[in-house]
This record gives sequence, structure tokens and C-alpha cells, in this order.
Amino acid sequence: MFAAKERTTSRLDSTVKPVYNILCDSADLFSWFFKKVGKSKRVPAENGFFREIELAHVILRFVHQYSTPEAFADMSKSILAHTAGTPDYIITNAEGTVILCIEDTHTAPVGNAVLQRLDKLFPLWLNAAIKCPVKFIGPLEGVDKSQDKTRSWEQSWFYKCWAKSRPDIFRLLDNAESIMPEVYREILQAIEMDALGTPLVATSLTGAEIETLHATALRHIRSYEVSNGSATFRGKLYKPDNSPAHPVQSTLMTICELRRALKMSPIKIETTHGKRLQSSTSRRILRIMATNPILAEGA
Amino acid sequence: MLTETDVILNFMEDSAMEFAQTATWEFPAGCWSGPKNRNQGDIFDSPLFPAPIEAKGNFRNAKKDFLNLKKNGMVQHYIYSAPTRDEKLQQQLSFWKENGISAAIYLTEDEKWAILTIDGKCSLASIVQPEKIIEVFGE
Repeated sequence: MFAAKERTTSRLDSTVKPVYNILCDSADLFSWFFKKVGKSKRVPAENGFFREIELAHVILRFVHQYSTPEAFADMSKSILAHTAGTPDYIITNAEGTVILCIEDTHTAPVGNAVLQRLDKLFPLWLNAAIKCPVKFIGPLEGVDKSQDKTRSWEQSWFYKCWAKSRPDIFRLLDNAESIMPEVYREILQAIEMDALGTPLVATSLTGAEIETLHATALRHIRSYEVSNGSATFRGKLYKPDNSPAHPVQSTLMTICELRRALKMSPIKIETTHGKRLQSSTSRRILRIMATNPILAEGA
Repeated sequence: MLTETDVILNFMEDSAMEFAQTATWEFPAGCWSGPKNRNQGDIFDSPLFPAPIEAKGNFRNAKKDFLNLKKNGMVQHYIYSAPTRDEKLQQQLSFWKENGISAAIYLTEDEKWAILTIDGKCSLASIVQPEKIIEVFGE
């Protein structure tokens, strides 16, 4: 297997265009871009292909998780080691340095759709070792088909208390058709700044923002309470059929990350799945368990 | 054998640009995004070839998908990958022919498509660039 650096073109002189890798969860971005430019190059890789599209000054190399999983894992490990999910796009420069992460969605911003994605992003926002912007791009509102209702980010406590004040992180768009162009625009901007030697600054949260988020989460998340200085989480982490309840797990993980960032005591988790939590290999659960929660028989 | 993603992307790159631009393409992804209409196929809705096309990595998976009527009862066109034109490919073509299914098979050693057309109707050969086709069977 190649090392991450060997997969990239490291020469940045004027005769060789630098290669920027776009590590993708799905091939939607490549598909969208290919339809625009009509030209690409297949580069044989381990058991699959990378796809390259040449621009005026750089080459964009698309590395798809479901095409070349080994290469994808190797090239993304510096970011994925720090989070519980895989952002949809991870962009690296010619040296293999991550310069941008993006999570995008076309899904209406109902509670679960937002919560399920936070576990990918929150640990990166709270980690000072992450030196690149980490962004979310999605529709400001959309139709929740299960209830045939229009739902908007503006209805959520998460938006009201924090997201609306960070348009640098949350690119919330008026229509879903703008999402892919916006993803592409963000990627090009990051590449341009990197090529100029002035990479975009990392996404970071101030202590006050983290405190506000925690206080608001405490007010709005019914399964989380603090009494006499002791914090308890009672959400059902597994569904009745024993499959993981991802939004609940993601919520707990976010609370644990916030508490750790604020140097608070470990949370008590009331659950009937204590043993399962202790033996789980899920990245989400591993991050929760890394905060040394107290497991108690309960919900 | 290629992955389903590579089969779809190779088909997109090797098809006529007008087809690539007008069809809807769906790719495997990490996040499940709601129930998928399993009769829809992975490629669909192009006026040039409106019938749904289902993609798989190899013949085994394509056959399994085809035989599962709960999943793909309506799909009549499959694309997947195989090494080259050999006896095994002939057996695969016979299977599809017996079942009235058309197929485009990306041959990894030849880097071109072998295409099986059924009764000359709705041929996948009509949407793949001619120079990317190694042979059309069934015509």
C-alpha cells in the first residue's frame, strides 16, 4: 500500500500542477463536476480508480471511499482519528495536509438529520489540534416528508443559540440546488488560499460559545439533566430491536464532548446496555466511553 | 472486479455526454438517506434512455439482484465488471439472454464494454461511446 504522501504529487513548481485530493464519501460531487466539464482521467489505484479533473492551475483528484477504501482510509486517517464519523469531503494538499472538511446534506433540517451529523463535526470543532476549517452546508429549510411539514434550521435551539452566529461554519442555503456549487466554491477557495501559502484558519469555538452550547443543551435535551452537580443521561441508546439509536448516541456524544471541553465531571449514563457500551467498537461509543462515564442500570 | 462505484463512474465517463448530463446517477454512500425505490435502478430518467439501469460490481451480485424480485422486479438493464471476453463471459451473456435482460459489462483487461442487446430494442450500445465498446452481442 502506498503512503499518503506518495499518493500525491509533491512537486509544486511551475511546470507540474499540484494535485489536491478530494476524499469523498460518495461520488455525487465528482458526478456533478464531470457533467459540467465533460472530461476526466482515470488513475489506476489499489483495486479501483482515482478520478482526476484538470483545472487551469491544479489537478483535482477524487478519492472515493466506496471505490478505493484502503487509500481513502489511509489518506483520511489524520482527521478520522479525531472524530466519530466521516465528513462527506476531506480535502488534502500535495503534502497530504488536510486543508478543509465539509459535511453536506440535502435533507430537511429535522432534529435527527442535524443531530446525526454533529458527531462527525463536533469533535473537530472542539479539537485545537485540527488546523483546518470544518464546515456544514445544507438547506436552511426543507420538507419533512414524514409529517408533510416545512422544517427550518431557524426552529431549532441549536441554530438559535449558536449556529446562526457562525455563518463561517454553517452555510445554510435557500435551495438544495445551490448545495453542490457551494461545496465546490468552498473547495476551490481553500485550494486557492493553500496555493497562495495562506491556508484558511481552523474552525474554533470560544470558551463562551462552548458554555452557551452546554447550557442550552441542558435546557432543551430532555434526556440530559444536572442535579446537585451530578449529570445524568437517560436517553435510549438502542432501539427496541437492539439496533443503535444513532441520533440519541450522537446527542450523548456531543454532551460528553462539551462536558470534557468544559472540564466537567464524567456523566452518568442510565442504561440497560452497559455491557454493550463497554464492548462496542462503534467510533461514536468509543468517544463516549473515552470520557469515562459512570454506567448505571436504567433506561 | 471493480466496485459498484467504479462501474457506475466508468459508465458515466464512457457514455455519450448528453446521456451523462441528462440521467440521474445514484452512488453508494455511507449515510442511508431514506427508503430507495428498488425498482428505480442506479441510473435513470434520461430521455435518451429512460429505462432504469442497475449497477453491480460483478456478475454474481448482478445475478443475485436480478433473482430477488422484491428488489428489482422492473429492472431490465444491468451493468457490472468482468475480466475479459472468455468462456465465463459467454455463460453470463447466455444467462441474461435467457431472461431477456440486456447488459453492459466493463472488461477490466480490455478497458472497454461488452454489450448484450436483446432484440435490438433499447440497446445500452446506443448510449456508450462507440470507441469504448469492444463488442456488441445479440445484434
